[in-house]
Amino acid sequence: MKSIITSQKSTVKKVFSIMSQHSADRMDGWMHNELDARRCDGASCATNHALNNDVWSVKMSALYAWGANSHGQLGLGFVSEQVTLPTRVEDLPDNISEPSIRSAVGGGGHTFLLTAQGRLFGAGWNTSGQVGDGTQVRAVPMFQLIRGLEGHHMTGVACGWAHSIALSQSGQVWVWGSNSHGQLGLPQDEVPFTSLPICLDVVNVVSVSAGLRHTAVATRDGRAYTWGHGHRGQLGHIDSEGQVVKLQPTPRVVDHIEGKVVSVACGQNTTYALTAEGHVLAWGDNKWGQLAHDPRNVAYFTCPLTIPHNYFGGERVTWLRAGWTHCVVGVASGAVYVWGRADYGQLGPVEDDREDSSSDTAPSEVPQKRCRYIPSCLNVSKSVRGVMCGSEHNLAVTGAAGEGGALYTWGWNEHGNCGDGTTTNIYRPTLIALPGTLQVIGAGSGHSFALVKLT
Amino acid sequence: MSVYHDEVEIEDFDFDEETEIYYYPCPCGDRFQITKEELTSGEDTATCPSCSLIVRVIYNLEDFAEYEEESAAITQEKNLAVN
Repeated sequence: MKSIITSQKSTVKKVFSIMSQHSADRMDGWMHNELDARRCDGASCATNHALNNDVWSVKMSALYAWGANSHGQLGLGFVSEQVTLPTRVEDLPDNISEPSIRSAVGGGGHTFLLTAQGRLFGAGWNTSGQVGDGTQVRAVPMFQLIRGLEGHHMTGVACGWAHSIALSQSGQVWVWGSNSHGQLGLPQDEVPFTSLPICLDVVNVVSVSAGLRHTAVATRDGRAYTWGHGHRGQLGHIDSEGQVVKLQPTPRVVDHIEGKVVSVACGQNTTYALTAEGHVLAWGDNKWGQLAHDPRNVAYFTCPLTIPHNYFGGERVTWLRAGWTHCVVGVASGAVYVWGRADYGQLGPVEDDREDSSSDTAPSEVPQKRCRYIPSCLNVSKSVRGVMCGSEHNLAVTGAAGEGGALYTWGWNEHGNCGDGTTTNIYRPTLIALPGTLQVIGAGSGHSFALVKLT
Repeated sequence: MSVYHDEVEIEDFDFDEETEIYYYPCPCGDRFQITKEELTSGEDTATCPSCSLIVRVIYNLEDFAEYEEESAAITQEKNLAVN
């Protein structure tokens, strides 16, 4: 097992005091936590009744994974080019029970599962330590408990291309993985990468997100902070001479934001913020119209732009998800709006698409424009409860609240990202049959997850 | 001719000094790659070993030609020194 960090200098004292504390406690504390975890999640619960329930529920839920697997990011125990059909993740660590999984989140080639108990498990590409299990091996093909977060209840996690950020109930954030572009928010010469989480000096965080090589968080007081790579204006910072900040090594508050930011979402080189009023702000790359402005007029923008409210029928936006170059939002009435890159089917069909149902044209042959910068209503017959975006594909849960959810996917499918058993791009939301009812959906760049409750 | 997935400036690529290969993230989770040698010879298409996507590298050929001349000059000097 390689050691954690290559250098330990003085200016990140706070960080390293935490690190060394973890190192000291590692064997002892970690082992205890492992035993405690087993006690809580599985084998030795207090009463037989609880034990029976737990065993029953373990059998009654299943985690499925599909898509790109070149780094073992599906957690199936092996590395392969791709898995084109939803495949059950059989070998989970002893201290994770399937019903307790609350979210599945992926990056370039790695994935995290977050449980109701606030524990985090990682798998996949790990050459920069981005899995966070304390090693720096090429691939971690089975989910492992993330080390160094003992005693903290984690409530959120986000993945960049090769870095990771996790949020605790107390509003603290930890980062790990590659720092090649300052994306960890720590001095690069002191922390070129880390395979164990390091606590950052930002407090009261309520939302975390990561782009390819940049990171964004929102704090309880409604501010947004960004750091990392900024070539396309995705940090929203300008220097004293009015030039775009190309590299911001430490967390810095984004100026000129109107309203109170409640959550953030990062695309490849774009950043979005959702305000308490339900407005969407966007800054960074606009090559594909990601900022909802005509890319022929705006290549990128370094300050937060408010996306015109009338694009969403004047409604409050309630949630926001970003792919690499497209964006999906839900509004108060339940409608879903999409914009950005469209050429692999990322945006699905929209209501203003004129299609002749009598035509011989198969859905996959419907001509797609390269991008659509004006948000348009996603044309899907069922009500959409939530969406998760991969780099160029999407997963949606449909069905009214209280009903069993069904899984729909669309977009780029070269690695079976959409899970329909083919590698042909899908240009309209398509039902993917899974046993049981859908509980959780998740996506990484080219891979996907679904947790179902078997009935 | 295939359609480029994207056009990416050379400054956005990560460079591995040992192998002299430039890398940029591919949406499939692998990496587009192109060698310094290829760039020097005028090749501007970076490919992904795991999928069909390709990107066009935006770079100034002269910057690489100069490097070529420099390294050739250094080699020549070394040869002279050895001789």
